[in-house]
Amino acid sequence: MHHTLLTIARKLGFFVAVLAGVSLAIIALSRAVPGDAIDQITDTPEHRAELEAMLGLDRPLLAQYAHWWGGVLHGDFGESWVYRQGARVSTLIRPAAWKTTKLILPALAATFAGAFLLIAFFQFDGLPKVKKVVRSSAHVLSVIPLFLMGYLLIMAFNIPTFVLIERGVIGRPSWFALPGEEAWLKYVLAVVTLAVGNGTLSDVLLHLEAEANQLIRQEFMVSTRARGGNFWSHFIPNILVPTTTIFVNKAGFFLGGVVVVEYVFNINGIGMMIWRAANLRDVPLVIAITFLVAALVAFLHLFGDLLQVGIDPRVREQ
Amino acid sequence: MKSRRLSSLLLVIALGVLIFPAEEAAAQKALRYAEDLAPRIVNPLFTTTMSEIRMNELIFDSLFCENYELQMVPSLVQDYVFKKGGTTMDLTLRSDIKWQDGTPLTAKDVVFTINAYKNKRTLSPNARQVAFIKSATATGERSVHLVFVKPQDYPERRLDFQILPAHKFKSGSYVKRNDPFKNRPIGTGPFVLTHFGDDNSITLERNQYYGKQVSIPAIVMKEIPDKSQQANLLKYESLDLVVKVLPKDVAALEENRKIELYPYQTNSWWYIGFNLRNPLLKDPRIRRAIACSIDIEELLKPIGTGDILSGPYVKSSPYYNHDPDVQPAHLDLARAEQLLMEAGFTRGAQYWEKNGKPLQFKLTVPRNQDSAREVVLNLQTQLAKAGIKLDPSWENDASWKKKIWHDRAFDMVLAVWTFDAKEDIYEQFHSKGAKNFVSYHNPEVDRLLDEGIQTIDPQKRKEIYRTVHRILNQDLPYIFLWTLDSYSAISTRVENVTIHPFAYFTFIDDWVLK
Repeated sequence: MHHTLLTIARKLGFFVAVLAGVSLAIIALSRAVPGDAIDQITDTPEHRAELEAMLGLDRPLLAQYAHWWGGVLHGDFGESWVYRQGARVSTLIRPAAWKTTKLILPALAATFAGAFLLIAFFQFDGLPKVKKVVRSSAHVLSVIPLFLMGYLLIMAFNIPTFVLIERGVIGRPSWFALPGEEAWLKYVLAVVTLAVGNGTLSDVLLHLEAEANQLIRQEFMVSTRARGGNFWSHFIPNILVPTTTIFVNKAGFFLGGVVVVEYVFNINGIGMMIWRAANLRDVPLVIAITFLVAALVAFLHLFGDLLQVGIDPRVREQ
Repeated sequence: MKSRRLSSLLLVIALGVLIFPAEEAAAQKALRYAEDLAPRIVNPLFTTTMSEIRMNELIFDSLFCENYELQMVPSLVQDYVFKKGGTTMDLTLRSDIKWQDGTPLTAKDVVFTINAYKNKRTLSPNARQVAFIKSATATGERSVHLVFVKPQDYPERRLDFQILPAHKFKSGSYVKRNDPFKNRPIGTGPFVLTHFGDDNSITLERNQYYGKQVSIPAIVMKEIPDKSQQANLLKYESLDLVVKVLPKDVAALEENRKIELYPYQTNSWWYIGFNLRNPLLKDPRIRRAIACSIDIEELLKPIGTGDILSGPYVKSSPYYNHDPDVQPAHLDLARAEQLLMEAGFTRGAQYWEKNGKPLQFKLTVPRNQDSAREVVLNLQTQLAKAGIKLDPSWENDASWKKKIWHDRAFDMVLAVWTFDAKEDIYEQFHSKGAKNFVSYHNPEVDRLLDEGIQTIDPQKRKEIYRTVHRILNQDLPYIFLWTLDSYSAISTRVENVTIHPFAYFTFIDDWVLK
């Protein structure tokens, strides 16, 4: 019990340290990159000093950092400097975060569900040629870069649909044309792209399959099978630990991928917003998004670690 | 059997996706246009980007505006009294103008707008627009008395800034950037902003108080960063208007019967700027040698059509110097060779060399400059053939401004300047100009540019700027390249379209949406 509490306390401490470090690093980095927000909102050099004072850029770095934390502790991430001048950062982030969540969660679920289904399929006896084709296809599809897969999917839907509309075969669907309309199909295709492209599916499949194979070869699993016991009741709890680790690691990777996917599918989520905000040197917006994403990733790691502590007695002992 | 069933099921699903829910989108009743980047603020006091300028044109009006003949005519003004060369002007506003909330336009609004621009605490990047006005006073409900800093010959040309509603601002003439007005701006223009979308779109509806009948019931501005995607969406009828088409998309759109391409002039030109602080580029022989090593026509061909220029004005400008001895830079490798030899260079195996070092420059280019990649590649090849090494470096907007404008850390730049109807090149070429990052300094040009601002006689001003054009052509702080023919692509659903060269939506009142 004592060990468990100590482990939890250590991991929580690490979580807080990561957030403090990340926020400081971003503020320092925003100072180091060439160019600033003032150039984006005026081309009048004589206004620079006043605008620096207005935005707080004339204060020392640590003072800016302390001021920023003061706001964050009150739930205030400040105002956007350039992207939507004067708008509350939290107001801008909320709808964008929801859009990105609608991409990432289904994409993560799709990747893992797809990987598990494929593993289950590969475990059954028979159909060796079909298995080979399915395995190769999964890997080939998965190596397509996100942007290419996105553009190909858009074209695959737009071109034939336009032909059918022009010939009067069908009416104009509400989602047409991609990615101009805010429609469900756009999100489905974006989720598929994120779930499969850039080697995601292939990577998860390889890792999970290796873990599954290792687990199946373990003595207790072999004897369970030999005894005719319930294979799945042993397999599922034991595969959960490595799955959690892979899941947590992939979540961070997905957050990186959304920048490309949101650009291609014209979805104004967190990825698109941070890309634009960074180009415009909108420091409060960049810091807030990076901080929240870092917090989410750190939280997922913490969650994964704690889950392992809960599931696996060996981790508790360590 | 099983595979047949599976195929049938997949076909049904595919048709379902295509057909359901097949309906005529409500957006068809609106004019839908795309911007690469949505307006960052909707308030003319703080406008800096073209998308913001276009949005303002839909919502706000100015005292005077241009008609189809590009002559300044009263817009919000009914009558005015002005004597040429005078320092005062009396305006009477129209009595039928109302703000989009139904409040009548008054003289207070005009005075407030001028004072808000001028207020130093407002920090308006556009304060220069009203710098020629010394004071503005409301002399009646609809009467304004303006006093100018200097005598004016044609102040109507400068009274084209947009007027704001005084009653919507509570803090006197000091307007903050985060004033709530930006969330619900109102003007006297043809459209009212009704909605900011989560996807960064902006919806506008016809202004019921607008004095003139407008055919277009609503407008939707969509943010689509990729210009090729904009062209595709126009082709698929998901958009009605693309403001500026990439040259590579022109041919495909031209063939489409449902799209009309509208060529329009922009007062913008491409140039290669030299950093005159660089000891090598300070030498006019080196600059001229570079100019003589470039075939400008060949650089232009792959990216479109346009006019090759000899100076800082487009050919339709009254200030363009058409004298036969003021010619654009042109390819003359023999002259380039002679000039480089005079400057002490010898031809090495690949490049010209001096003290064992090759003649080499870094060319800095803005990353978001359309078609610049083709130009840079061809320029690099042309200069390499002439024995000059060019290393391109691409910068995004923020680092461009830092490196070029502030640090002046560059050898050469390839970029574009865009001007409004005033064509004021003071900032670029006066030694005190804020945008003179090439550090050009010619006392004669300084004197002429100062004189040009002061001169009220249009004929005399024309002579002054034509002389500046000639001097810049000789001094070569820039290699003036070309002005590109711009095309706007608009669905044939939209009729009676005229595009103003500098203020895109000026004539939208007369556009008709089928």
